[in-house]
Amino acid sequence: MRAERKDCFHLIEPLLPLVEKPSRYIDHEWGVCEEQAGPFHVCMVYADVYEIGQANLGIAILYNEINRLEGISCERAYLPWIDMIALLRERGIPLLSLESAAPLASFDVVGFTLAHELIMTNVLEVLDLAGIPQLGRERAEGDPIVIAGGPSAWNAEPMAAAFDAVLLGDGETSIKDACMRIRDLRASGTSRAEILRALAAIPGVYVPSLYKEVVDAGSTRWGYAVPGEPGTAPEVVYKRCEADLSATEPVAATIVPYLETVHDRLSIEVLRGCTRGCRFCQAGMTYRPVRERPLGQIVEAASRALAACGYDEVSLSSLSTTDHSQCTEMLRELSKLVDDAGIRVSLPSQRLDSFGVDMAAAASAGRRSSLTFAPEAGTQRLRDVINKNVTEEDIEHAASTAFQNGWRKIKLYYMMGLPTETDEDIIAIAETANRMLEIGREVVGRGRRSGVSISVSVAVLVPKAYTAFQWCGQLPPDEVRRRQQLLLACAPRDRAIRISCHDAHSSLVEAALSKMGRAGFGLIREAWRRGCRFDAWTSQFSYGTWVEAARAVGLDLEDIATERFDLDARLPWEHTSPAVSKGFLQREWRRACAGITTGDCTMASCEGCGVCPILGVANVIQGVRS
Amino acid sequence: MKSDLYRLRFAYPKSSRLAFLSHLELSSTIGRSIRRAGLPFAVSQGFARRMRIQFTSALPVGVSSKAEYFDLFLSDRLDAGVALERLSRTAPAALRPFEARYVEGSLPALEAWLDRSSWLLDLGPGLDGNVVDEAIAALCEQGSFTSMRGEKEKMVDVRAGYVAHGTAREDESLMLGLETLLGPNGALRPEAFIRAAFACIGHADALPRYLRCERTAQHHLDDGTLVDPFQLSSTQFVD
Ligand code: SF4
Repeated sequence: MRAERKDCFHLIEPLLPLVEKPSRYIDHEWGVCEEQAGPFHVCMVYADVYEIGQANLGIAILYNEINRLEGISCERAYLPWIDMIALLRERGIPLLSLESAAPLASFDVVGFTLAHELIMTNVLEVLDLAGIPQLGRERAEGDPIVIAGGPSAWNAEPMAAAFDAVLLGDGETSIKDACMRIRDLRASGTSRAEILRALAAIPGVYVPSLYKEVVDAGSTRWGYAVPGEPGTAPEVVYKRCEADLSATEPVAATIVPYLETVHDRLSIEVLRGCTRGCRFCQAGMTYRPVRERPLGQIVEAASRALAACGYDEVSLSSLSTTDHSQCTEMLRELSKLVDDAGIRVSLPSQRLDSFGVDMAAAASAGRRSSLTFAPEAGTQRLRDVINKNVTEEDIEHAASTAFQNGWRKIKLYYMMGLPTETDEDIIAIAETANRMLEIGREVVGRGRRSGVSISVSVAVLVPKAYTAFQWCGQLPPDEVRRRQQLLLACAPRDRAIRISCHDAHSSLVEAALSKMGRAGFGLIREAWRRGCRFDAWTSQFSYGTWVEAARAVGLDLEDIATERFDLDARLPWEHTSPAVSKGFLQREWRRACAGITTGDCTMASCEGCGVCPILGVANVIQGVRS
Repeated sequence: MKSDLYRLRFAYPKSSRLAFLSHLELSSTIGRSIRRAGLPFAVSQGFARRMRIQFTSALPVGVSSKAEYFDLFLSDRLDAGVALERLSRTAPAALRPFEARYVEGSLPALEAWLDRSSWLLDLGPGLDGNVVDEAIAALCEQGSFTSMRGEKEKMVDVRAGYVAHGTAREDESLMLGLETLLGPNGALRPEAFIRAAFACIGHADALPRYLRCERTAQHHLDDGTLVDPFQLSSTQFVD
């Protein structure tokens, strides 16, 4: 039964003085779509607190797209923080949307973003707080249709039981198609089962309940999914892809939050996709091809949105902003536009191989206190394995350019547990850090107060679906710890170098959830039942509880995460595809093992990943990439 | 202070849900409203180039107000009425400014200058004015109390901050009017003050869990006279 749609703000208002950061719950921000007349109502949910979720650009794009539709309105909901959750449960108040403070369970469609694997227990927490059955098959006719999408949907199987439909790839068009289809069918009294079947006919929409899991000799132990009845759903659902990005809106978020969010600035999406081909990177495979927006559109959008939103900072966002063929002109044009008003232009990260004087000048206008580079691996050999095409000279050149241009702090990102990694590769991380420090001291001076410092952050590789490393097992946690210790032991005893290592345990859970099929749901639900939520928060993550939950359902996390799959095995996620072919990924894996690099198809010839011919799209480059 | 800047003072409320904004959230919201309005604000020179703006003393989160002020420094003189009208259109309704006038650039910073605040607290039904008098008298006698500011415990000097009070019944509720003075160690928080007063007479539980509180006015105390924030507006600045 559908909950009644009514404004329930009076229920949470008395709770506001009792919780941390009450502005998470008050709505009424500038740019909010207050007109929520419907009559068809959608609510987009980011299953984490407001300041994380409100910064998510995917949701922001869909929010605006849906609200532009006639007769359909879209609201937002976030997972309250634990203090508010406790009060809601204590008083029997259901989870509410922000705009109209209506119960989540009263909406026609509820959509989740799967931003990463560690958000899954939060999705269950949201459904529970909302009073929406967690299992798709337990939902009644009138219950909301629960959909999902986002970067972690490439292995949606562990959460397949919870979602009525999963939207793969770019959501701008498919969300509208899906919402309109549901609205029309609901209006004509069509049953829930029929609606789901109709959704499966929309390109890019995966309806898990129409598939069954099969385990056989050719699969991994997690099996693979095939249509339950032939003909009811496609064997493989390919992602949706906006071929012409310039036809879409470059300003994703138009709501100006009160609360400082994790990305508290105007964001202009300058391009989508990256074809550098780093072999560990899921986004690099799943967002192909590259689609640059034209310079004029970016500059126009930035000036329009700055005036409309009032931010004092604009960020040019994408997977690889400095790869945009017009990046230098773009920065020049924007700095003209914004200089007088004390507005900053910022770039999300810097590439090591193109960090020249131009970029240094542009990035310095953003006046971040530190500059971030990601060499990812310590030696040239290992960087070739992962196809991170930066050289030792690139790194040294970038460091000296940065120091010469006034930076004092450099952050370096690395990964541990990469295939073929040896102790030598680990030791080389410390050596690189030391060399960069030396370069800094040569440029800036050796005095105590020169302020030169290097901080190194080392994550653990989580092998992800649709990467060349999807067959790999994660490095066992004991070995992770040994290598972390080795790194710390060989790091120079200099206070100007700081090394921090990512927690091996949360990476282990992430790896396990990335590899499993539908059996993963039992594990996630058991973990949630035992109190796991906010797993991405160090303060909340409880590895012990995850281990107990796994044991209770007869699984072993370490065993799952470290398992290697056979190169020819049928994988659990092959029926939901970003259109990168398996043959290409297998070839990439073999080249990785041989230390052979692969080029970038926006700068040289096509590498045959399959995306363009399968989807009928192509790279869109505005100028010339070099 | 650069003399070629114009100092425009705005009065605005902090009402309804937006009472729950923290001081930082409030200042960034107003800053963004000003940018949206396209007012010709001045930007500080140096490393962090920020908008030149001054706010009054921070309201505790959850406390609303009828009388908040900020001074915005403009690099171009814009008619005060036009500025007010433009900002009214780009500010959230619950913070919409209702008055704007140029004031002399040489005045002290707002936060220190507006040192007198008037407050109204809703103590809920079931309390008697005499008990309130008794509680406050006991606290004044005690002289100071400790209150939590975030994680830290802070010693509050009652005599430096408390000026006067009065009670009245409105509908069911007992309303407490409180006058406070900004002391050398900061402001007296009305809610912390009245809770400390009730704790003093062993009646901490008599107050509701959530106290509605509003700042009703702010003034500058000049040799015993209350000066209105706009009273100093000098006419020679007005066209
Ligand atoms: S098909 Fe070729 S051109 Fe298209 S993204 Fe793949 S490698 Fe690049």
